[in-house]
Amino acid sequence: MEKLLSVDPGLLIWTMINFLIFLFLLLKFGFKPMMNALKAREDGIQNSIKSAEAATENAQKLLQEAQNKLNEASKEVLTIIQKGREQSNAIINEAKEEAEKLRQEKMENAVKEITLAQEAAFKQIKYEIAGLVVDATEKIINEKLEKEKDYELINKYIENLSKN
Amino acid sequence: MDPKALAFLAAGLGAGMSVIGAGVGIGKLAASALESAGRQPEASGKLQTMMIIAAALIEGVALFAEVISLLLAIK
Amino acid sequence: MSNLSEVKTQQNVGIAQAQSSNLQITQTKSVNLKDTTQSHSEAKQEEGNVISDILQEHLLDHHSYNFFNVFHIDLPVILYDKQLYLYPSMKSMMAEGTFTEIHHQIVRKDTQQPPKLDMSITALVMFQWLSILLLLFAFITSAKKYKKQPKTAPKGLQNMLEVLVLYIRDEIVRPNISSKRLADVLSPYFVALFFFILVMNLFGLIPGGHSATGNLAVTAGLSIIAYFVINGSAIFHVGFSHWLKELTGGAPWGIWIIMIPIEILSMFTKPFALTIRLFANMTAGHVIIFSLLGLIFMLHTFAIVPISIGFSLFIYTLELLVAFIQAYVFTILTAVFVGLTTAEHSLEH
Repeated sequence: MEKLLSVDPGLLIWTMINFLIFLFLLLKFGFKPMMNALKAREDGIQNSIKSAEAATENAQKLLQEAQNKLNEASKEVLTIIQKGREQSNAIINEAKEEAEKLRQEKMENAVKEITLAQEAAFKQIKYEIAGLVVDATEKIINEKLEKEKDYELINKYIENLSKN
Repeated sequence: MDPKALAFLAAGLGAGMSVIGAGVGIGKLAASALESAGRQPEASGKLQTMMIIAAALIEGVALFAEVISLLLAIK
Repeated sequence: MSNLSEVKTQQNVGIAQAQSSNLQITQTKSVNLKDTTQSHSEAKQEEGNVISDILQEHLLDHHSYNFFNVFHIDLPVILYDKQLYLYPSMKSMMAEGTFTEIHHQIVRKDTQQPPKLDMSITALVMFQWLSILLLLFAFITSAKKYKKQPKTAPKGLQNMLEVLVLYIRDEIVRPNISSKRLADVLSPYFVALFFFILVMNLFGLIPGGHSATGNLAVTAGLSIIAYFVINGSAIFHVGFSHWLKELTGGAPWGIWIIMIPIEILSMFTKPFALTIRLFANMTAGHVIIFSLLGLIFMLHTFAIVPISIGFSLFIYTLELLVAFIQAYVFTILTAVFVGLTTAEHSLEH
């Protein structure tokens, strides 16, 4: 059992040789490819994160743009509607005014016509009344055209008529 | 008394006593490490590493004693 | 040691074979002894020797490898004594006649002195090579996978290796070594160290396997490399003069006379502690398992069997854990020592 605690120099040297060989081979065939692959993977992940971020940003931008366009369009629509409403209001007003004017004109015309007709009628009536009066006067004169008072009355009346 | 027997006795006693020392040491270490981990759970990873290092150092001293005992027993 | 085995090895029969046949003989003998009512102590003494022999067979290094008497490999013997001697096996060395084996030790026939250097491919060297081959196989297959599909998530063996390698790099090397450049340079060394120790530890748990780390020479070899790594990285990183200054421990010059020997001593005790720790941890588990199983043969009763088996199973599982922990501890302590000697601010306090 004493050998358990003795150090065999040959085995010690072999251990060191073996370990150094192992270190060299591991470094060359195992560690470096692994680290390179890990680096590549890390870079790849980094890149994909970056590209994803860029894509998100892009999408955000596009969304913003679309939103802006939508807003503009709705604004435009609003203005168009507004304009239309204004226009229609204007048209309505115009039409109203025109109609009013027309009405006014028509009314005026009517009034004119009426006055004309009235005048004509009055003339006619005056004429007729005068005729009638003449007739009546003739009859009255024939019977009792003596009283001065009657003449006076008749004249007054006729005057009043002509005034109207 | 046979000196060889005395050597064996010394080896056994030495091994046992060094184990007691290492046991007490590692026990205290683990107790305080657990307490600290309980107080600061976020530092438990670092504490664990430090605990293992300290335990390894205590154990190293105990192992020296064990090797000496072994030498006594087998020489 | 039993004379029987000595005689048998001189008859050029494998040591292990001799011991196992010895065991059978002793067992039958002990039965006979019981029947003939002779003193038990003598039989027990011999059984103790047999168990001790088996333990030696398992723990010590040999010039041959024997797998449960199923197959036996003679390993080449390489000796240096003023000139190089190469033999394909122990048998041919003995047949050649310059060297012979006395008490499990190779000596020159004429002078009875051991050769200057015994560089034989022993069983433990073979197990080191086996672990290296196993590890290289694992690493190269996963490296191929990395080349074939570099951007897919790792799977299986590749994933396991990657997790361990990244754990060593990110949790052991980088936190302890403050300089990032030095950490990146040294991380392959730590990865190699961890896996080399781990696989050698685990080989001891396979039936018929030997754990090379259970031998002082192997752990000493690893520690010597660790010693050079610790001090070499300190010299290269902080400069030779700074490294010399470190030896004073940053103390005022009045107590240099105390500090310098202490610092020089601690420079050597660090790797020494690493050596002993790994060796003792790996050996202790094997000794305990063998002792527990040996109880069955010592006590001659089946009543002890469940206790022995249960406890040795428990220890076996513990050994599995210890194999990982010791590989981890050796690696992290080396990293801590490198970190301590290369820290920029270590002189400030």
